[in-house]
Amino acid sequence: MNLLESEVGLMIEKIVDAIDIETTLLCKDEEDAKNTAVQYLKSLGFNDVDVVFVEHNGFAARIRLRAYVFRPGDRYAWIFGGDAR
Amino acid sequence: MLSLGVLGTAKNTGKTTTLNALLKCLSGKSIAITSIGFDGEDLDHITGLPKPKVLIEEGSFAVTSEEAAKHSTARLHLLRRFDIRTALGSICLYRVRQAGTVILIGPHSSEDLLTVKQTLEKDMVEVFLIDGAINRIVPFQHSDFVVLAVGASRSTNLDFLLTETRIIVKMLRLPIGGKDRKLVEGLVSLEKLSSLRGERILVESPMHLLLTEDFVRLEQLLNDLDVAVMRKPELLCVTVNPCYPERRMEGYALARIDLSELARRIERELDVPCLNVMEEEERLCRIVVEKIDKQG
Amino acid sequence: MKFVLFPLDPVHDVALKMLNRELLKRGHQTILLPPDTKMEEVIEICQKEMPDFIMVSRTVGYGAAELLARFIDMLDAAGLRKKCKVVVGGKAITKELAAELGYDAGFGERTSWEEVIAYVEGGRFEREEITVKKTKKDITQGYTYEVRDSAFRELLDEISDQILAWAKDRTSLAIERTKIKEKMLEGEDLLEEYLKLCDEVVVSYFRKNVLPKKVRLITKEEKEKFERLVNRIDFNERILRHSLDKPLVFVQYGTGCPFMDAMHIKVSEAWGADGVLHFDPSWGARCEGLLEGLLAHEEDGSIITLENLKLIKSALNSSTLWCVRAHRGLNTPETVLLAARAGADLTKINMVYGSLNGGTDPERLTVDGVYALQLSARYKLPYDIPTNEELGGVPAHKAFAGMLVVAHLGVKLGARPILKPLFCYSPDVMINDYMKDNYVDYNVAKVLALRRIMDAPIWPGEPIGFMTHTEDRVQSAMTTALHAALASSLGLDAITIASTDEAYARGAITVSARIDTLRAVAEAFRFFGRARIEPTKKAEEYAENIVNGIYETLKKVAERQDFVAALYEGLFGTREEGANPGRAGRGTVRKC
Repeated sequence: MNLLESEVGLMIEKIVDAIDIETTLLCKDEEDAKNTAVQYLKSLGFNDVDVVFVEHNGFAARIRLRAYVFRPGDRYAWIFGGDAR
Repeated sequence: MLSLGVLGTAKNTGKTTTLNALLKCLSGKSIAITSIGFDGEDLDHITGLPKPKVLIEEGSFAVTSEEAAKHSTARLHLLRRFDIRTALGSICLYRVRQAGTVILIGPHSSEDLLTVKQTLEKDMVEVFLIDGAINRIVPFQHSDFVVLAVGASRSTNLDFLLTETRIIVKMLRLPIGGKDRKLVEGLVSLEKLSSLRGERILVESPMHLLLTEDFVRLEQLLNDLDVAVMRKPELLCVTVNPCYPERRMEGYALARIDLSELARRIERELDVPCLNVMEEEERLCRIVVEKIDKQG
Repeated sequence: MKFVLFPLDPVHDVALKMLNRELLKRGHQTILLPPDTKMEEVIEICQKEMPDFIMVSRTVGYGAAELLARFIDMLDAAGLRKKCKVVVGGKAITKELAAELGYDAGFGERTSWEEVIAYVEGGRFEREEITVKKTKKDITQGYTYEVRDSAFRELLDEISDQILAWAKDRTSLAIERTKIKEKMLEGEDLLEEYLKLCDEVVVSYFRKNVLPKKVRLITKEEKEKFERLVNRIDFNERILRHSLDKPLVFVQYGTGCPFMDAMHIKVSEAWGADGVLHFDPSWGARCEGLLEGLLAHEEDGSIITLENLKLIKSALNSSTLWCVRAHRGLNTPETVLLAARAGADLTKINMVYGSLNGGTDPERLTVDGVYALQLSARYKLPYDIPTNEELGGVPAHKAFAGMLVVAHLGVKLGARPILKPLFCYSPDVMINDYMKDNYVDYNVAKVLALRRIMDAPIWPGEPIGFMTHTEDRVQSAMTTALHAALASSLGLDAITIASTDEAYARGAITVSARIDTLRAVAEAFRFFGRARIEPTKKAEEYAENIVNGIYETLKKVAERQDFVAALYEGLFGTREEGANPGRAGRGTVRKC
């Protein structure tokens, strides 16, 4: 594990539940925004992802993406330590 | 002209895949095609997953809405306009001038389907193929034959699928009855059936019985009744589709389970040919072509 | 006509209840079924009632399609399908899905009642009827600029007359440049004359093609690509105000790059902004002469050139009000000229603030300001008068005294001013604990005070809530929204709002930050509607003090009989209060 990876791991272990990413995209409609955004989140290595909010208006969409790190009932790293996952 | 419908027990049970296979099987014949729902779109309206496209050959007929015709890649020549309206334009009869994909939005009620069917009788159509929609069955009361599409998208519980298929098959095998029976028109609810216990009744079609949510109770009630139907389609075979959309956080993904055991049990226990279209297209063709040639 | 309304849902029937209300209003007969009615029962009811329409509502997810399709099958089996029209509405419903399910029509979640009514009544639904058509408003319309109290009127007259008499035989490099520029814009080749009156930075740019630091030329290709992009941008206009026609909502832009500015403007417009204000780089105020051409700047503030302004103008919606600020620097009159030529609707002039907190010499800016006000009158470009000196520590009454002088002076010259008190948590407020209990009273007091003195439009800014914002987005949007609600409650004409990045200083603000505040403001307007925010008794007390303070200030200035000297000597704010007479352009005023 290089330094960067260990730091990323550390961050993930400290997250209580999820990471939200927010941005504004130029796109043709809400579906376009959702698809682009979800694909992007997946490309970052997140599997449990969702679009929390999206509002499209003509040419742009305000969007909030979510990647769950822990769901209720999971073994949380903040209880069980780094090997919880 | 013979009409042949593909009915499913849910969305994504493989109706359109079966329809496409049938189009290939019957390519030597003069075919007209329609859907009682919406066919040929790129993506499913609910799951957003890719859908099979409907490919149609030159010389065939298509019954679809004006708006749908515009979005088809097949070159369509307008022959007749029906007085049937849908959310996406009026229904028309087209002749295919050049092969391509076609989007099908056809008549969605029994009455309208019957109108279209009667009109087509006068044309040079040998086989009229009717694709189903979602889990809709009632319009098929006017079809001569049906293929039943069952699949994992309805349920991944094999026992449930088998039971459901058994009851549908059973209803489709109810005898055609005469006027000597007590006529029960329209929708036949379970309550109505239980109030008629012990009687000899005549219902319009098997479809009029199959609209209940409780198939098991329906089967039980039928043990205490003598039921016949006024009209019904003949069941040619059952197809199984092992693929189903699985709910994910961000939408749906295609998943798959093994249905070969289910197919074997349907064949053995219900005495009806059962096949997976993706793997047994030739067998489907044999069953259908044989039947149609015999009847035609 | 007769309708059966059927919520095919265990709980939700709000949409159908609302539709029911609309249908009843229009004299239709309706049968609204409770949620969770069994489909078999619905069929029986429909068989008995024989409605013209069956309206089904249902949110579509997986599984719901089968339910909706089965309902159609049941109607079909019951022989009702061709006798009634069946309509489905709900989240995720589309026309395509309605066709697939076998319904006659389908309406999605953002459908208006008008659309459904038009469908069922067989009328044509004109979408134009419900799309918002914004029109440009004149903020100054209906105001007389009458000074309500004769005591104030006498003082303001005296001060204005003194300024005008003083400025009459004075000129500056900026005024001379403006005169030359006007001729150049008419096609005369007077660049050499112009450059004689400019600083070295401007001269080098024209003579040696040397660009100022962190400035670059925008290429023709970039401009063409940008124009293609902007021309394609299309959106439904929206109005943030809920039930009132005031206040108009303005946002500031000035990212440095006209392209990014234009994108910020388009997004702001799409999310409901009524107007935008152009902010130029601070060095532009300290340099004699203006550049030309399409220029991008890597730091805050977008460079004022006619080409840049025209590029911005080309991106603006026709209903968007556009203010180009001119108020504080060495190019004040020339900026008013370019703003007018580029098609701006408003400009910004305040020589008191500009010379006490904007870094320009008071004498110079007074001469330039008078000329700029004349241009503002000539080009019918109303000007707003910011009072941001409050942020440095100047008490509100002194800042307001200066604002009222500039307003009255403008009116005398035929221009139309807009008063701009700050809604802020200023140093003076902190020191005196005016906002110990709430942010309402003192801001209300400012408005009460100004209204008592002059009949003029009031537009708090820039931006509202100054110094209450933190870097937290929710807090930032919240404080802006609450200040916006206060402005609305006071019936003010316009507001300038910050983005949620207002307090963030280490980088450019983002479009998302703009959208978030616009959404928050819309929500505040929706929440309050015509309801009012009630200040405590303190507001009246503060207002009284501000009015008295303004009077005392004006009195001293009038008695001094020299406006410029009054600026230097701290009558509009002392050095201790953070008012520092600027040095840029000192000694450049000439007699003519």
